[in-house]
Amino acid sequence: MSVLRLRCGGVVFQAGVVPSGRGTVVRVGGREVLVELRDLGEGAWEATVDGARWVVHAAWEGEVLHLHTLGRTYSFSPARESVTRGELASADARAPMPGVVTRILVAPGQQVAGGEALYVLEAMKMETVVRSPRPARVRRIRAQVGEQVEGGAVVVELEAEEA
Amino acid sequence: MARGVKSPRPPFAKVLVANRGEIAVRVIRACRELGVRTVAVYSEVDAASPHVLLADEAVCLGANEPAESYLNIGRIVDAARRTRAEAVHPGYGFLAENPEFAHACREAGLVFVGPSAEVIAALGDKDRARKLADEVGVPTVPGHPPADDETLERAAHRVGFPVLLKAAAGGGGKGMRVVHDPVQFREALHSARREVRSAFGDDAVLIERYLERPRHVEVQILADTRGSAVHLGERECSVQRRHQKVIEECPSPAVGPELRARLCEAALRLVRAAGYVNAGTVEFLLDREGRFYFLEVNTRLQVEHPVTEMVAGVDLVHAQLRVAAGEPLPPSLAEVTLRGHAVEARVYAEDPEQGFAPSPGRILCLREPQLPGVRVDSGIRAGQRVPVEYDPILSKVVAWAPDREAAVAKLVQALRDYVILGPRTNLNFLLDVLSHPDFLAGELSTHFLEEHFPAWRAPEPEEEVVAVAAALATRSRPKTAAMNVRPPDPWDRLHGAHLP
Repeated sequence: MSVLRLRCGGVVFQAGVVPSGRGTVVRVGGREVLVELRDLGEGAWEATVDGARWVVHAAWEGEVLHLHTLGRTYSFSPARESVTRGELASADARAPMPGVVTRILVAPGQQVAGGEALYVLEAMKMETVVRSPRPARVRRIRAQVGEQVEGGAVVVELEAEEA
Repeated sequence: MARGVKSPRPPFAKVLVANRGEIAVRVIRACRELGVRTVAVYSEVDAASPHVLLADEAVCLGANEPAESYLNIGRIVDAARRTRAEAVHPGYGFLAENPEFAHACREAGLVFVGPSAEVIAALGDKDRARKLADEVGVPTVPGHPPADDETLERAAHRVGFPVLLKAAAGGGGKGMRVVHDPVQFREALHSARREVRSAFGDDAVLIERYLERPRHVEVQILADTRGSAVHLGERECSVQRRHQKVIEECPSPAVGPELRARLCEAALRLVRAAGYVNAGTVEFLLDREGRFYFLEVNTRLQVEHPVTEMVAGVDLVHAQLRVAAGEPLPPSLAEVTLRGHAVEARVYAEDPEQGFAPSPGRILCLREPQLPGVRVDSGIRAGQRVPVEYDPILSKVVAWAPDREAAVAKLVQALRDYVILGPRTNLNFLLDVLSHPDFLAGELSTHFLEEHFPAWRAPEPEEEVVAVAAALATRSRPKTAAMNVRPPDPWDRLHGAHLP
C-alpha cells in the first residue's frame, strides 16, 4: 500500500491507496472507499465511488490537483511538512499573492512591531499592505521596488525578537 | 438572412471596443447582433483572449501595463482612426469614465458611446455631482469635498466618525476606506491617496459620513440626444466586499412600487438636470426607514447591467449604440414592465481563503453552465492565462425566473455546474453566500458579507472526494501532465512510501 498525504484548504488527509482489479481501494478517515476511474477526455472523468457514479473534472497545475465534482471545486496539494499554509505564509511576511512590490517601508536591522506595515504589493489594481505577523527585526530585504514577485515569495526576511 | 425580413439599419458601420475581458466580449456580441463590424484592442498578454478572437479586426496596443495599453488614450484613438471605426465603446473601468478620453474621441471625429466629456467630468466628480443633487432636491449624505489632509481631518471630526474615504474620480471601490478611529485617519487617507493615484492618476479624496447597515440600490437610466430620458427600474447590489459588488439583483427585495416611483423619479430629475445622454446609473444608499441618499452617478454601462436586461427585456448595449448614433429612444421604453426576477454572481479569480487575494494563472479546464434562463457573460477560454495586470473578474452568471426564490435556486444550480480549474475562484464562496438564510430572506445590507462571512473557509471535502483525489493522484498524472512543464514530482516520491 502506498500512502498519500493530501492537503485541501487547511486540512491534511492521509490516504492509503491499494490497486484493486479495475479500481483503487482508498483507505481514508478509517473508511475504505472503492474508486473506479474512466477517462472521458478534456479533463472529465467518470468515477464510480462505492458503486455510485460521479462526474469529475480534474486538472494538474504543477503538483496541485484541481478537482470539481458534485457542484464544488477543490484543490489538493501534497503535504510534506506538518506546517499549514497559513503558518508558512506568516513566518516571513510572504507575498500573499503574485504582484508588484510598489513600496518597501522598512530597512534591514529595523525593529518592527506586530502588525506594522512592511511593504506594499499591487496586484490586479488592488493595493495590499503586508504587515509583520509579530514583533521582529528585519534581517534582509529580498525584493526591490518595481519587482514582480510570486505568491509566497519572501520579500522581507524577519528574525524573531528575543524577549 | 431570410428573404423578406427587413432588418433595421445598423447604427454604425464599425465600432472599436476599448476594453478587454467579459465586457469587451459582451459589447462585441451586441455589435454583431446589430450588423456592426468590430475592432478589438489588446495588450500583448491578451493576444489570444476571447474578445480578440470574436472581433472582426484587432489592434495590439502594446505592453501589458494598463498605461501602455487599455489606459493609453493616444494609441486607442490612433487604432480607431487607422481601422476607420466610426465609434468607440469604452465598456466599464479603464477609460470609461475618463472625460479626456471622451474628448479625444470627439476631437478625432469619433463617436464616444456614452455621455459627453463635459457631463462625465461634471458627474464623475462626486463632489460636483453632490452639489447638483442638492440643487435639484435629491438627498445626499453629509460629507466634505476633496481638500488637503488637514482640512479633511477637521471635517471628519465635524461630520462624525465613522467616516468613509473615497476617490473623487472613478469608481469600483478603489481607494475606499472606512475610518472608525480618529487616530487612524491620516494613515488611511495617505493609503487611499496612493491607491487612487495609481488607478486614476489623480489623488483627490473626499469624505462622507458612514451609514450603518444601509442597502445599496441603484437606478438604471437611458437618455437620448433629443432630451428624452427613461428609467428601467432599480437593482440591489448590497452584497459587497470592500465596496466591490459580488451579487446583484433586479428588482430589489426592499423596494415596493411607491418607493420605486420616488427613487426612479429622483434619478431622472438628476440626469435631466445634468443634460445626460446615453446609459447611466444613479446609485443610492437606502436606510432601514426607507430613506434614500444619493451616492454617485456611474456615467457608463455597469458590470451588473444584465439583471436589468433580463427583467426589463431590453438590450442596454443595443440602446447605447442607437442613442450614440443619434436615434431617439423607442417609445416602448417609456412603458417598460419589470417581469420576474434576475440575480447575478460575479466570478473572480481570487482565493477567498487567502483574504481574497487575486489568483492569476492558466485556465486548465473550463465548462460553462447551460440552463434555460441562465446567461453567462464570460471573458475567458480554456488554456488562457489569467493575467496579473488586470481586474480579476472572469465572468458573470445571471439567472432569471418568475420569482426571487426560483431565480436564486437556478443561479445556485448554474454555479454548481460551473467548472473552472486552474486559478482559485470564488465559486464555493458564492454558493455559500447564496444559501445563507438572510440572503434567501432578502435581509441585505452593504455589511452582509463582513457580518455573516468574516472568515470564510471552504467546507472540508467528504472522505469520498478525498478518495477520488487520491485515486486520480495515483492514476491520471502522466496523461494530463502534458499541459505543464513540471518540476521534480513529490507525488512520485510519496508513492514509494509504505505504511508501517
